[in-house]
Amino acid sequence: MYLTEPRLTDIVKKQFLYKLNAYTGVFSSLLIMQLIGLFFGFNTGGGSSGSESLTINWRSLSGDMAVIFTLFWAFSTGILITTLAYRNDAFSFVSTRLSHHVSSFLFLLVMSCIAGITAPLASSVIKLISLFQHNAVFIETSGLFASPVDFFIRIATAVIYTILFAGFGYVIGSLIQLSKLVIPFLVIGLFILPLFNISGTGFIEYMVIFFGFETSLLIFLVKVLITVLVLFAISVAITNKTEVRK
Amino acid sequence: MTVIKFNNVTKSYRTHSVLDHMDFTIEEGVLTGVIGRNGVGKSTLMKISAGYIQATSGEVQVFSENPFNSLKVSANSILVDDTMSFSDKLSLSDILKEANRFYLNWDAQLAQRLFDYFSFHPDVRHKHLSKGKKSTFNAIIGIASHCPLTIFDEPTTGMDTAVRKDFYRALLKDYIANPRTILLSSHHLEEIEDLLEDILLIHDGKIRFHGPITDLQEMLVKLVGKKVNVLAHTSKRTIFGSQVNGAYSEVLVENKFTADEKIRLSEEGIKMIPVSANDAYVALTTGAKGGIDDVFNRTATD
Repeated sequence: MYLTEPRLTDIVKKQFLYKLNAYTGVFSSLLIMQLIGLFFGFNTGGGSSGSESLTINWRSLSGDMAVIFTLFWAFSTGILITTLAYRNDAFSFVSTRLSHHVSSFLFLLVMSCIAGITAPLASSVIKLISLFQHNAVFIETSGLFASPVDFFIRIATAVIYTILFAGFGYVIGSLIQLSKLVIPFLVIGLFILPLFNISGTGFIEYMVIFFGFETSLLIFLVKVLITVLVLFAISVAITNKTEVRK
Repeated sequence: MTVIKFNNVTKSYRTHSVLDHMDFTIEEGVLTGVIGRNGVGKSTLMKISAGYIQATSGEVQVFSENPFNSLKVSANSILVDDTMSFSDKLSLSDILKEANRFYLNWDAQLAQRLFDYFSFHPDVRHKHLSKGKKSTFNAIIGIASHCPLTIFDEPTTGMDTAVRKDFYRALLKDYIANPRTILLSSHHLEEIEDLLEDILLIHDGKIRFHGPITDLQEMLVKLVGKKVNVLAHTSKRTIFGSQVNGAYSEVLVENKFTADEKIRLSEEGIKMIPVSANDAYVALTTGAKGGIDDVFNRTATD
């Protein structure tokens, strides 16, 4: 029996295709999350005002909820695919820890693109349904034909944010795989310490300023790209000694 | 060519060690049975060889590489055991297709024939299979992958007698048609002894015996005769097991008798009876605690 000399890229490709087939649960959870987002987007606010002769009833609709739910999905999917069950599935066939990470990451990247593109489109669905209900739409975010550049920027931003959240989920999932003790430390570090206004602990606040206040799409893209690469390198480094199928 | 080489390998967990300074080599194209009692480190040895877990100290080489994180070892080896898991989004026939993609030597026709023979339904999910069916399916993957290093860890768990026999026969036929290095572990040596060429006998984290199965059979001999006569011959030897039946006694000792001694044995009416590989295995792996009888004897006297 002759020995095969596999190439990393070759195995990564096979694993990536395998994961597209095996992780279809990730697709369906995305669909459900975006539907929930749509549902909540139909009524983000409303009210009525008027005098004796005139009453105005208004209702606001938003596609933002679909995007927010998509980001939540990206974060939890990032965590999910680092769990033991997913890892053992991968190691039932040819795999090393590195090839497993790279293929998982490519999978997250592709899924984030799909999720990031479909999330803003959800607002079109909301508008469409609203039109069928014979409601007049007064103020709206410009669509593809009204302002194509804005439209594509919106999609690009959603995609990049989804990738960022998936990356954060992946590194946190990897940390949890290393030790369950990470969970209390994360909760204390991220949510509890900032409450006491200790300087240097407002990590989330800092992240919001760092990413959220960026006005240039290009710089934003570079920031996210570098962050995600760092997160990925951390994930690979901390789990490179992980034992599988024990 | 040497396929697996363990050099002074120790694997310890926080509280105890499983493998204790282990040295052995497995040569190419040999079907070796990894034999030992429960919990002696058979699975640990196999998982280290497959690169799933890492040795605490010592050097492990598979195909001249450290198997941990080696793509070459992963692509050329397969470990079949009950921790094999597959996504529940994949049907059994999907899993066979995936295996075909990953293993370059995959024999799709053989896989399909075995799949049909053991009457699997192509649309069933792996996790819905019964224990025995799961083992059978995993074994099909192990056989059809034709990996240069194929490792079966307790492959017959849950299989019924008929399927177990079929599996061993399938493995043997396929091994003859496609010679490769195979490790096969089992508690039941008597089931697989006809199949094996070599035996790697593990006891207390150490190699107790490694060599052809015939050597194991010839390693020990059973002396049967009058109690007094037998005692005279065995008092200075290591006794691996003994049983007293009235005035007669049976004693297992190492098969190291000179021609003179053999003549004296037969003069005194002591018979030398060959020992089966299974009896030798049990004798070699019985600890210092004596047999199960001792547990009850002590309780009676306490």
